[in-house]
Amino acid sequence: MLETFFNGEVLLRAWPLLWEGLLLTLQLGALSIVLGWLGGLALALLGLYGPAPLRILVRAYVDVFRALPVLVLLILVYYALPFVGLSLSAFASATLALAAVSSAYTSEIVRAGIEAVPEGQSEAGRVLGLSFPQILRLIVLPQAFRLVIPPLTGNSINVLKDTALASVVAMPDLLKQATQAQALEANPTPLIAAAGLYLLILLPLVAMVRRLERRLGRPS
Amino acid sequence: MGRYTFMRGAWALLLAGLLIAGQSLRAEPLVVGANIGNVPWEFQARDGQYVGFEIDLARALAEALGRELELRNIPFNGLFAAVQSGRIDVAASSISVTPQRLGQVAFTQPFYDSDQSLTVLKASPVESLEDLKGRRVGVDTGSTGDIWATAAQERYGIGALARYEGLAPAMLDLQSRRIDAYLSDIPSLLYYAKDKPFLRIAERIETGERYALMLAKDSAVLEPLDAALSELKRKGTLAALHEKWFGQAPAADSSTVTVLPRPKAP
Repeated sequence: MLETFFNGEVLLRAWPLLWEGLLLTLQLGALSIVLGWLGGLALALLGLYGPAPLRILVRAYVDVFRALPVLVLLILVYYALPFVGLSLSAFASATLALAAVSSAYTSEIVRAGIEAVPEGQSEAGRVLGLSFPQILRLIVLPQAFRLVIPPLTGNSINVLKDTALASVVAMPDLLKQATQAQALEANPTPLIAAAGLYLLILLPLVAMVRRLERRLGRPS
Repeated sequence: MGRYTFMRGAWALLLAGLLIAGQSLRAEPLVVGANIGNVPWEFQARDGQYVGFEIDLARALAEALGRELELRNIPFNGLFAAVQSGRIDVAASSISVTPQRLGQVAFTQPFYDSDQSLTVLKASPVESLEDLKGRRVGVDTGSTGDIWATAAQERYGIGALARYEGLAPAMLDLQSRRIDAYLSDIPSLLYYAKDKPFLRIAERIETGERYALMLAKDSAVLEPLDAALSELKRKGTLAALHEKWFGQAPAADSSTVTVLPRPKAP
């Protein structure tokens, strides 16, 4: 039992593969998360303050990408786009799919955050003679960000977990490297190790969300 | 009267006991896992039925053991954990016997001699392994092709290896030119390329590997299964399967017709 599932020798041999996979998973996760934030912020602002046709487009985008399973989107981007002449690498496809979905969720979170800032705050800004961008930058967004940090971190954790889906498009991420090592060694230890590594990264983040929620969620 | 009732009760008990014993004696099905889509070994026919050389073989072996056959579709690299965890009794997926694998799992005697192959698009400039410098090559995750290519990557200056979960996704990427060549077991590729004129097998890579059925190390099925396999070789069943799926008789001294010892862990 121990020999099969927690084999130290196998783990030692598989370690370089797992390490490479871990780095790639972190790169993919970090890039998708940051792009998701930027895209989500832009979408939220356009959806709230943009011209009417753009607001409708944003609404449609947010709904479609929240409804579409990430794996389905990833397979479409990777396998279907080449037929219309756009052949993205596995890394680019995965980043695009993850960021597209994450930006839809982020936009909803940010929108809720902005709407939670009382209208009186912007009015006060206008009375003081501040321009609209100034009101946004100095008054609304700083307060909104405080509110959205916990749900945004929670969403980022989901993005990081979803990077494992990239293993289906031949991308050597942590899960893919673990399944390869598992097949090469004919032993499941690398899979167990990969699960441990995911936990090692994600458990502190989950704990952080809990702390943030307790600290920031409380009305000041 | 009382005596009759007693006898009747005894008979009823005996009958019930026999029924229960019969239920538990009726053999459990033989659960065979295979990476469906691995032509011509195990794949889905148009009507959804699983067919192929190893499906026929599994059926013949289950019959010889007097057990029902239950097939499970499991990706190649998941088969190892599946036999070790007891999720399946036997894995059949043109699995080559390697010393590394023998340390972790058990195999029956081999039943097919195989090599690797390099497949490219018809118009590709790649003519042999020597032309792989700086190019992207696809392999199946954890397969003997993967092992071979990883070891040979430096020697041939292969640009990068992309690892797939089987033939179908790799072929999509070959066509969309994300990879320049696909390195995998030759029988599958010969069969697959037969009706696909846009593909070409550029080179046969002689590795002298042999396929066998894979089981858990301590499996109780191993010996009876291996004995049944010997019997099928003697009866000519395996030669007939070779004819059916490859259109020609196996070589006279090949492992398909020769009864062999089980491979032992080094």
